[in-house]
Amino acid sequence: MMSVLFLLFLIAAISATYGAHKIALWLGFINLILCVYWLSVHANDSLAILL
Amino acid sequence: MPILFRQLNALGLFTVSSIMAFALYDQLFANELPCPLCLIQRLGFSAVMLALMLNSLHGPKPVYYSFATLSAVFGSAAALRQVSLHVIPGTPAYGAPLFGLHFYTWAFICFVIMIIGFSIISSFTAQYQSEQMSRYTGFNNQPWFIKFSCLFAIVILLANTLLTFAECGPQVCPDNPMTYWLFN
Repeated sequence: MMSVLFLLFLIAAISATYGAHKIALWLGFINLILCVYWLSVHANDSLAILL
Repeated sequence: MPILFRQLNALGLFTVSSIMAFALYDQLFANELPCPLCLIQRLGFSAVMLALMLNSLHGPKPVYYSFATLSAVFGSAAALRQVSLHVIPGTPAYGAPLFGLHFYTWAFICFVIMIIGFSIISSFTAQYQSEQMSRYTGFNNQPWFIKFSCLFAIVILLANTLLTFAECGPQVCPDNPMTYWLFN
């Protein structure tokens, strides 16, 4: 499951090299939100550090 | 002057990619499998790499610096969570130390340096004003160092994707991984 998050960053990076900077940025933001969710799955108290 | 900030971002991209490359080297050759929190910190580094790549390829923009700062804040939260986990007496540290500090402590230091660095570099408004800076001219027309840094970052991201899948597979990663899921 966590490899999917890396894969999404990889797709975003490849999109950036092909000139699709808006797609890359949106994919990056959405993926970062998913990362925060995944952080809460593994360590829910880390959200307190984040906030 | 206009190309300077792109090159600076490419230098940052190369530096962060090198940090990730060292973590991969340690995983493959010292056989230290990363824990879930370690992988989350790597995701934070990956997000910073994406922001730096956008800055160097498409020209610096405030939104890219915001994304980089948010990613570094996310990574620092994950690293600080792991530091606080192992600072409790009787809780053994995870992995071998490097120059006296563990990888998650180094990761926290790196993320804090990045937050400070992005805050400073994003305040130089001259980098946003040039029309030439915001025009994408294609990957092949970029300076060699930007192309090299981007390709290096893509290889590192690909390696992380494959190795994370090999370690965890399609499920939640184990708290203390000893072997690769794929080779079990």
